Amino acid sequence: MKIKGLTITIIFQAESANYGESVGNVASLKKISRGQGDQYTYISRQALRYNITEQLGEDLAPVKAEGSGDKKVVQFSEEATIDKYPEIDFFGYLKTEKGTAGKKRSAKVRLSNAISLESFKGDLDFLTNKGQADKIKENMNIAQAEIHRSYYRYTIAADLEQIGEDKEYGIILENGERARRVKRLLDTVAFLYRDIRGRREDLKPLFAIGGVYDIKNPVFQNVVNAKNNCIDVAEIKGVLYDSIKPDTFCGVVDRSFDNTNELKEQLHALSMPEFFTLLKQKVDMYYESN
Amino acid sequence: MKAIRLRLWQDMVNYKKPTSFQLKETYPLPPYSTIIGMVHSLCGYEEYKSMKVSVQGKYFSKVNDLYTRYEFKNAMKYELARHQIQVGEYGICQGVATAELLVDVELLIHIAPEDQTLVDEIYDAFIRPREYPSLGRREDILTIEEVKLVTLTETELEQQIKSLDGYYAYIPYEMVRDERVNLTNNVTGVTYTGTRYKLTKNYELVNYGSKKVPKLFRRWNKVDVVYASVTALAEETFMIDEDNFVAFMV
Amino acid sequence: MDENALAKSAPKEDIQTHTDNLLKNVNLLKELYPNLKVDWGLLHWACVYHDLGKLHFKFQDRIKGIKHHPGEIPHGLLSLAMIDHKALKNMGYDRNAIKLLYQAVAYHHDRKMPFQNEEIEKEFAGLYPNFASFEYDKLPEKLKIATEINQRYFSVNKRFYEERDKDLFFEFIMLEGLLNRMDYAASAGIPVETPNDFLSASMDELMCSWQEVDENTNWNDLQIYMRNKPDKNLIVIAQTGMGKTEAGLLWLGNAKGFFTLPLKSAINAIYKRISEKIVREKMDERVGLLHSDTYIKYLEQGEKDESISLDTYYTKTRQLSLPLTICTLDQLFNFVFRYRGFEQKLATLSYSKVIIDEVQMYSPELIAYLVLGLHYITRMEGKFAILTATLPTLFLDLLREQDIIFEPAQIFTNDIIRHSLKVLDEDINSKDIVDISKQYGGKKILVICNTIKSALKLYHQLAQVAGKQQVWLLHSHFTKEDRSIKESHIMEMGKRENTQCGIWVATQIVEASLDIDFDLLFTELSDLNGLFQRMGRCYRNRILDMEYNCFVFTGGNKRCSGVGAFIDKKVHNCSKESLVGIDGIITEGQKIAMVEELYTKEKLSDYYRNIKENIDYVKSINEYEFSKTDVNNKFRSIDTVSVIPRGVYNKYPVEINEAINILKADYSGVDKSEARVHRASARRIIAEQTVDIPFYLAQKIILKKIYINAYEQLSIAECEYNSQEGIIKPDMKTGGEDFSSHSF
Repeated sequence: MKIKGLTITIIFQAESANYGESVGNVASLKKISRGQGDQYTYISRQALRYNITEQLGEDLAPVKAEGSGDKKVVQFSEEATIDKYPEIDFFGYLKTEKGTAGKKRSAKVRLSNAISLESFKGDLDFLTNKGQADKIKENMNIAQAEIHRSYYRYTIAADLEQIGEDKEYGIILENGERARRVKRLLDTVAFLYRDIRGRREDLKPLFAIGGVYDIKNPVFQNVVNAKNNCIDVAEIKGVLYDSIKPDTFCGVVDRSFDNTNELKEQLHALSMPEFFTLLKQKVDMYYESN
Repeated sequence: MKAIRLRLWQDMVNYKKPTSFQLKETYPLPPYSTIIGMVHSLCGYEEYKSMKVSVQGKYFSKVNDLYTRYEFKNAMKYELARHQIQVGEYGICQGVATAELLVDVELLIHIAPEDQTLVDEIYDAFIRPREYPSLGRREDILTIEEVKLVTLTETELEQQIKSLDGYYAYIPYEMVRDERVNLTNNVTGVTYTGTRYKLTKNYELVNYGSKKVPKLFRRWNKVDVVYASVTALAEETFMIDEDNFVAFMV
Repeated sequence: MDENALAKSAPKEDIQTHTDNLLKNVNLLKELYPNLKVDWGLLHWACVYHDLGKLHFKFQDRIKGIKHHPGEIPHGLLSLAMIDHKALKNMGYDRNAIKLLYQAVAYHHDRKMPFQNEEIEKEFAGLYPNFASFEYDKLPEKLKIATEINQRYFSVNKRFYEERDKDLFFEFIMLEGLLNRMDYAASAGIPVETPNDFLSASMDELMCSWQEVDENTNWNDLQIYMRNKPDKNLIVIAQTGMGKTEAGLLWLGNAKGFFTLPLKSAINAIYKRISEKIVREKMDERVGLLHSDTYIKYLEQGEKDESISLDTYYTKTRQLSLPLTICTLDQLFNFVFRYRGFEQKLATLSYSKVIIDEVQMYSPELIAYLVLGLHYITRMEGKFAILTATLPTLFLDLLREQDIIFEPAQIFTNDIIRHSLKVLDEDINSKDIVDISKQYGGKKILVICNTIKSALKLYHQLAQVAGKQQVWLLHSHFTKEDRSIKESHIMEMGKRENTQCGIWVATQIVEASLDIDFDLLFTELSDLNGLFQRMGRCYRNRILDMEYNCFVFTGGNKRCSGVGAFIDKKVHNCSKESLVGIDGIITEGQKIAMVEELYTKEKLSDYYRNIKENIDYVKSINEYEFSKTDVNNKFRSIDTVSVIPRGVYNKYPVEINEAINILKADYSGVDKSEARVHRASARRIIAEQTVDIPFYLAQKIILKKIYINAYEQLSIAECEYNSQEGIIKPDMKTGGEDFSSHSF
């Protein structure tokens, strides 16, 4: 099968979607330092992966009871094979079993962390349980949580020829099924959300750029930036080499960014549904041609 | 000597130090074995191809990232007190751990295979990778900024060459000991700057068992390097590529 | 005068003139000490290059008072732009020599440098305008300004280290140290060295004057031994009254020398003796005195001799440029910390001879610095002689462990029997003292206690028996004024020909440096060394003519005072043991043997280990890690704090406040040296009323600070005071500890 890679770099807008280790009773967001030493929050790839598998709408791998009840951890289950479960087809498994060194499959769909594009300014939310405490006439407790609403950027990369193939079990799926799975993945990404602390955060793309390529390099990973509510077009154009330019598409949600028109003129940005439809066509073409 | 020069970028990455567990510590730059492993995987080599590598680069900051860790001893029976997850008859532990991540890593890497006929295929492997290449952990995807075929020539410098804007490098210890380079960023009262590492490069499999019941272990070949920011001194001999980059080949 | 190349502002001087002055000093030094372990050529180039960085427009603007530019790079680093390493190579200098030169120039003003080579190189361009018009005949031809610094020779904060660079480190010390000496001397307008061309002659004259009195007088064995080995490192053990000072000066001969003593008072006494009896003229070109109150002492000297220029004399002393300097250990040996800028001290000592007197007085901490200092001095080929009445054996072990080469220790005693010792195993008390002194009919009685507390107690008891007019007290908690009155009184009474009678109760401050001779001695036991030092204050040079003349109280079932506070318990107990069986006559040889036997590393292992740990600690400090201020603070803990007791302050409020106002006054527009004299006189008025208290004790008492200016303040201790007893029970911050039982 011809080598093909699908990569998309996506910008979405969300608020406080991933907390890390806390100090005292202040819940702190996961953060990194970069640029001029500013702090940026991020949503870890594991969090994104969790939401994607949850929303694939496919059969989830066999449920195993855990201490806490009904969590599902499929990638260790011996009967979980890729033909049944797209989840482990995409994200791999590691199985414990006798007589072998364990079976493993590395991830074919890979995600980066979603890092905020605007720096964190130390805003804090203030919470109490007064409502509950009043019922039993007790003193309330207070807590604080860091909050940060920002644009986030992440990149998804899929090795198309490796999806639906598993040498460990000698499984090779029909091309149609493979295409269906990848398109399902694209749909999921298009409508992604995340439930956290009683909120449903919308992670759907407001801007996306990418395509199906012969060259497997997530080129847009570090060139998509939003400044003053504009996408920096020059930076993106700086990596649009002839080898990838014809295969590159770009989608934008109208009025999200102040320079939507520039995006349309310079990058020929489509609407978001058009963008995903086009990518799905490309996926179909690839699997049909093989 | 022909070599492949790579300029790479990674956003959040861990090059694990082999002895760190609860906090997965990271090396400041990828060790040689990590890079050689990536080359072998991208080229599909099944056996060791001898090569020399030079690693230079920088990162902006370090962050400790909390994650859920699953671990198990292969084929260990499930025990209620020990394991959180049961898979058939086997058990798996679930807990939290922390990984040190380097943020905004830039790398400048030279790779020179001993068998110079391999240069083109290694070059191609980076131009058209078989899969999205990662360096560090599986999930640490690379962005390749540049792949270039270069020729490394042993040159006696007329003028010193400073390190690229804030780049650090792994330098062979002998080079530091013989004062062929100058370590910058000195601190008064500290005799030796830089951090000394013994980095893994390649291994041989050694059988400690019998022929029937083999017990294979990796015997690592380790190299003695100093991690520092350096200037290559005038009147000394270095491997230089055509763009006047010094390669500290190991 | 090149107006665009100023090196100094007041008075104005250009770089060329300043550099020429350095080169003159190099020639002077080369003439006086041609065999110095330094590459004279390299030193010449270091001088030529050292200040060229001052051509930078930012420096010129600042020195002319035009503008203060932010982010000025120290000029020593900018000078590197001018060093032509290729030319130096052609002259035959190797890489290491050029490295030495770069670093000597770069670090000749040693301060923190929180930047990299790039920041320095960026500033090189600012040298061009003034360099274009700069003419100086000492520069190499076709000198160009470099664009970058060759990192083979220099990289910011890279230095030579002893451990790694071995000999190069010491070569650097010589080059940098001498460059600094030249630079400071040129700036101060003094010659870098004044030759010692008088001491041998002065000593001969001294002998002649003695022979005029008694023609049979001649140098004794000790003095001849030292005179005959002027180029060796010597260790000499000699009893009191053998003329150790003269012996030391004979060993020195016409060489540059330093004479170290443990106490300021002892230094002042020796200085006085040398100025009155030995050198007698041109003191301000020949002999310096260096401790924390040098300037005040010089003021007194200046009152006697109008011709002395105080400022010059003081500067020469501080710069170590006088042929003979008498100083405290901390003024000289703090270089063992290898602080930033230490090089000039060690470089100077490399061509000097150091005499160390009264070694037994030093604490383990200071012994450690001393041993390490001697290690470095001998490593640099300087010479030393140790003069002492008693020598702890373990001291020799320590010297050997540091690879110090010296002649075997020599003992000099005479056969005069001076002392007969009675050991009393009980607590010191007035009853025994009164009974025994009646029995032996001594007229001049000296009682020495370990602590002020016990001295006070005895003083009151004895005063009741003998009457206040017959008993006096001397310890360290008197004001300087009272103390000097008391010291001259005890000295007067302690003269042999004086027939006064009375009792002096004192502490160990009379052990050293006071030339006194009493008839009977009663003392508490501190340790053997201390005991023999104290016995030296009784029958100083007389032949024993009674059954017992020294009585030592070893505490009985109680501990002697001060043991455990500042006297090591172990040393005290071992001393007590070695006195078992001693009763009656004790010869000088016996004393030395007893000390030799007791102070070994085997017997006093803890004491020895303590010193070793101190040595290892200082060794473990990296070169250039500390600033000079850090090191001075370290030595603070062995230093003292001057306080004015409230009782004294209330007695002289007018005088003290007037002096404070003089110090507070603004002297801008007044002649500098005049202002300095004013201030120093005011300081002396205040100093006369102060008591010096050890640093660690001063932290425990309640002090009120009176602000003088940003650098100075007065400390008033909340306590009563009178001239008979000294400080009376100061208010402590924490209860419990008794102040007077921790001091002497």
